[in-house]
Amino acid sequence: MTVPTPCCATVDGTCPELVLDRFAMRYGRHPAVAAIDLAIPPCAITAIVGPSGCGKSSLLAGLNRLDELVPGAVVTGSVRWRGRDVRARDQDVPTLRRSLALIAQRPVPFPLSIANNLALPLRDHGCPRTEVAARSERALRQVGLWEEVRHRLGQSATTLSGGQQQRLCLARALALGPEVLLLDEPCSALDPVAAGVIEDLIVSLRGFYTVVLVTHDLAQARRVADHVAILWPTPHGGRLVVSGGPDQLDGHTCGDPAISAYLRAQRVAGATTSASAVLDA
Amino acid sequence: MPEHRLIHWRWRSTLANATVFALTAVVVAILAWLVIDLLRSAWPRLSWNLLTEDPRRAGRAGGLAPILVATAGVLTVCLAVVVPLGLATAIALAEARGRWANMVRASLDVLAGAPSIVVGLFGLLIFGDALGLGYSLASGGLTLAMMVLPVVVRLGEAALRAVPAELPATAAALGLSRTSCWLRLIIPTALPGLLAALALGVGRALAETAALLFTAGASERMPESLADPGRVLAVHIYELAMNVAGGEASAAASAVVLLAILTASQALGLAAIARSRRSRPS
Repeated sequence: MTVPTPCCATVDGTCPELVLDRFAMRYGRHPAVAAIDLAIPPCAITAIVGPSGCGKSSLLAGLNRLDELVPGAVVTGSVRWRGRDVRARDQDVPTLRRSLALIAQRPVPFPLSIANNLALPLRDHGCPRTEVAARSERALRQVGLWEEVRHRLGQSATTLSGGQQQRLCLARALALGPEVLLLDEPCSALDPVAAGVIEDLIVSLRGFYTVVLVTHDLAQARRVADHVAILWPTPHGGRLVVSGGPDQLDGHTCGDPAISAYLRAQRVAGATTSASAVLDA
Repeated sequence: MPEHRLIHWRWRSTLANATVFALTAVVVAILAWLVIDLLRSAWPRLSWNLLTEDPRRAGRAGGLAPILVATAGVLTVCLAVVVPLGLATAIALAEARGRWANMVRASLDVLAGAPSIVVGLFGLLIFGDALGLGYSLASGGLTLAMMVLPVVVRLGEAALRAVPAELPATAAALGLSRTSCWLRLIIPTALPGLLAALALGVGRALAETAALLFTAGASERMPESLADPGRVLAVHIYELAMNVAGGEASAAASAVVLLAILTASQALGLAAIARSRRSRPS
């Protein structure tokens, strides 16, 4: 099994970039995402923010073709990664999904031991048996879980706390050597302390991986992201209304009072309930 | 809450508890009555020889050795068909959507409810006559498989569908192959339900009479191969109770043996379920 090198470590500096070109998605007749053009910069954290139902998670699933598991999901336009359409006929889907790893909103540990949660995907992707333990340990250290679980690797992963399970899921993906991490509201099912740990972890990945973080929390996006894209629900599906650095969002009205009100409300909410604030307290 | 309403609520709660307890006691009492009555009738015939000797005087004396061998033979053929075919069909149906899958499900439901005498007649025509198996353990086992398969498939499908959808989705998100996902995650997770389905199927197979009268035959002789006819326990009980004068004690003794085998098979099933639950995180 060849392990992709984290993008910023490539010698020639040609970091892969994800480019969405008129990307749209619908479920049957119900539109989820309107035609979106977006370039996701490499080795940076890009947050996709928006209210519920704006198509954030659908967009994320469309990036590594997980939408294909949903009956009736139809994607148009293209997603180019490393200059190739991810939906090209000769694209190897398991390899694509290993390289563009998606971590779900709710942690889903496999009903196996902690060790086997990491070992199963590694072995399935052809990792030699002699390397499995070392790669698992490296990934667990990367997410700061090694010291907590090193003496109970044989125990069921479901005995871990919610925050630990989410870090295990992240480690499971990292062990496979992905280049892009697709994080679908990874903190939303966690308590503020566990959410703070995951947030710090995401920040620590900056520069090593291209991270696409879906969140409904604009304050979180401001704290961790280098780039923010805001999706807004419309009858034609989620539409991209703002895209740029977090600072560029201030005072943005988009010509739509509803969006301005949303941005204002998020600013107020973020000032009072940020995970960092809770941690500091 | 006012005190009179609280007292009323407590009375209703006590009454509900008492009703549930009484109904449970009735069910247990019926089972106990059945077992005690059977044991009382069977007592003169119960001995170790019952399991090792051949039947004599049309089953009034002697043992059940060839009957037990025939029962084991029919059950083996039945399970050899049901386990692989049932699991494969359950997996296919758990994955399948659309009209064809629904038609298969509806067909299985109809087959599961088909009277065993009808299935027996079909088995006689297809396995006995058309395939030339005649009255044999193989013919009986295949007919029994037809009866058990729909139950095992539908319960197996339900067990597989009960696995949280996030599990295969997460496996797919990591690029795991479908084979790995099924073999390492979904089937082990659903194993208790699959084993329960199989245990129920075995129970039904052991208790079946009508279909086997037509297909496995009623010969008391020791079968030497699956091509030989044989009399299974349920058929033996029927013959002794209905066609052999003075065979009531032997019928009761055979029923005790059948109940013991059924209980043992269910206990084994439960033990396997508990074991699979314990050993999952490994």
